[in-house]
Amino acid sequence: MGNVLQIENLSKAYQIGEIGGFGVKSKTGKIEALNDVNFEVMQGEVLGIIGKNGAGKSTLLKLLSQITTPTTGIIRAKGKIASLLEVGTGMHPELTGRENVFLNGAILGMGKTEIKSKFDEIVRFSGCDAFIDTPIKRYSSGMKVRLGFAVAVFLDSEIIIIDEVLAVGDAEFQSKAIQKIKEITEDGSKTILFVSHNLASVKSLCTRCLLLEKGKLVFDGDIDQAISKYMGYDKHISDRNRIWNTVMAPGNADYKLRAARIVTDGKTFEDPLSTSDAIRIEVEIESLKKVKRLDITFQLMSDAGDFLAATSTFQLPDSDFQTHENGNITTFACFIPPNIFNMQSYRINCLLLENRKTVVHRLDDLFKIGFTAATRDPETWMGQAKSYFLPYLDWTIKARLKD
Amino acid sequence: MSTPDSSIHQDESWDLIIDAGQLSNRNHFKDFLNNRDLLSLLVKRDLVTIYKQTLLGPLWLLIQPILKVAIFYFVFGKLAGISTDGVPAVLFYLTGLTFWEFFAAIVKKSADVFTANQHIFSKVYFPRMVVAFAAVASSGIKLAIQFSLFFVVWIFYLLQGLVHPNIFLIALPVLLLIIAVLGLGTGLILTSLTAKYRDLRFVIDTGLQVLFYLTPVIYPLSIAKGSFFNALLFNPLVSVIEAIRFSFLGQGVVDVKFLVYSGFFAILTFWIGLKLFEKTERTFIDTI
Repeated sequence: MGNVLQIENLSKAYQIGEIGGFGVKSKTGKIEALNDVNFEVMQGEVLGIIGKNGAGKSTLLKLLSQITTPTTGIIRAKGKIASLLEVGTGMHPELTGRENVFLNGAILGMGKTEIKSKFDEIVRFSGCDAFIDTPIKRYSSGMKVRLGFAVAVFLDSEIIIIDEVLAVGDAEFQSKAIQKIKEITEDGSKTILFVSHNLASVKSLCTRCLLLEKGKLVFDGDIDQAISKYMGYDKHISDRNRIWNTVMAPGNADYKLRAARIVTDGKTFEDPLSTSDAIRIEVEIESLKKVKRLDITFQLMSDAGDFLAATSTFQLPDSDFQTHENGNITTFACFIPPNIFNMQSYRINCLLLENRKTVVHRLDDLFKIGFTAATRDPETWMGQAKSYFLPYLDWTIKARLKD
Repeated sequence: MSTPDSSIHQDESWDLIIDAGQLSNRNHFKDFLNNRDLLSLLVKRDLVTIYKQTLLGPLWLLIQPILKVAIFYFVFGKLAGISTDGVPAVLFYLTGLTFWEFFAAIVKKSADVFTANQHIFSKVYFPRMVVAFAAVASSGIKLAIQFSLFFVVWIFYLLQGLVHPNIFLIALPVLLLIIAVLGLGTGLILTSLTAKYRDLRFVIDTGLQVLFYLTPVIYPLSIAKGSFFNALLFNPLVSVIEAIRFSFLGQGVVDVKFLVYSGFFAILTFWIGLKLFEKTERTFIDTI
């Protein structure tokens, strides 16, 4: 085991503006698509690369797969690099499936004998057996993708670069593809660089993650941290443990908020939250006024400000409320079971109410929290539901024989 | 164990080093050998796809020269009355045309390497030169097919005793090589120059047509006189085509001096083309 890929000070600048005519070139500037990127990859690692559009992911892959050359910097690699920036590159519509398997395989760097020996497996994997001698212009787009991917997965390269190829094809194909990639990585001899917008598949495949932002490598390491950074959670809020001293404390003349926390067992306040974490939202209120009961309401808002849900101490009987004599600092804790939230960011507002009637204070955006994906079985669907919640509920399944 | 030169040793263990500061030293011969299979499949693609869904298929490769020779025969032979130096006109035109087409096919095909394959080049890396070699190879196969037509016609006239081949025929492989190298070199220059600025693409067809008339395909070099004759000899194809015709038909002007010139010209063109190509292939995908 050792380094199989070493990237040093890698930069790539592109000219902006249109080429052509005279003098146009000098008027336009340059853009650094990739700016001084350094990292190393060990043998057998499955490295995820994430970032927003224009962050430089594709440029990085283009440089690694030798499609274009860097402006500065050095790339060193051990072993053959196969790049899968697209499935079915170079396939010709007029040629049959069989001819295209050979052509595409050769373009990806396989020899004729190698393709011949794997041909049956490739065809079986693609599921195009019946049409293998039909020109691929008669194929459905799904069949073309499957055939192209089938050729690619039988590549025998030490380093494999995969770019968003899983974004094409239906759910069944995607899970089959991910399963296959997982199989390839299992023996640890192959190194994979995997670029995707699908965080669930990144999370289930990769062992390490790079986050690119505007051409710069901003994070290299743990996948959860990379994902939460990518989703911008820690940009607007990373602080899940807020404590105020008396002077700065939010509130009004009667009530002061002394502390607010989101606690997860087994995680520090800095660890990113996963959808499979159980969380506890706590607030500590100092009250200067004697009141029969002080209620708390938490409002859950979407990142865009849609009101999603609310929970309140209204449901509790009066006996649960302690009087002022027991102390003037009250801690309210709300437990949220695991597997309620989706991979999104949410905002939490906190409302203070007196005697179940009057809102005496309102704290908007007490927290902004975000959840990363929970680890999923690679054989399951890797898509991302767009819903606000993805709760795990109780199900029963019963079978009976037909009368 | 850590020895002082362990870092140097480590550096040697890399299989691939891309350094922005250094021009990679390509070994085209090695690339060629390592990618033989790709080359043959690209050639097959070139040849097979053109004639898919046609009734006559590769027969078109024979019909095209027949039609052209027929036109030459009537326009240049009958109408303009250009001499063919005692050689049967049909055979005369077919000889020049067959070998000219070899050159023109290589130029056209290799001048297109970057633009026609930009989609593949933007997604997968393999030595780009392989595609240019494939252009030569597929042109070579077309030549072989068209040569068979020429050969039949040639034998027909040979049996009638109308043409007089000679020992110079053994030089044919060298002459073909000169045409191939010259064609590939020209194509490489053109494809490199058209990758960024496409202006030259508009003149390739016209340029080839001009060159066609400056090459003795439809006329024998012997009818060119004085300074025009001298000027024509600067065209490296002139002496090659004349030499080929001389070896097959016994008609033509052969001057070893000018053949050597053609050989050097071809090598120089190829070398310039190769250097431009190497320079262009590094980043052309950013500018195409």
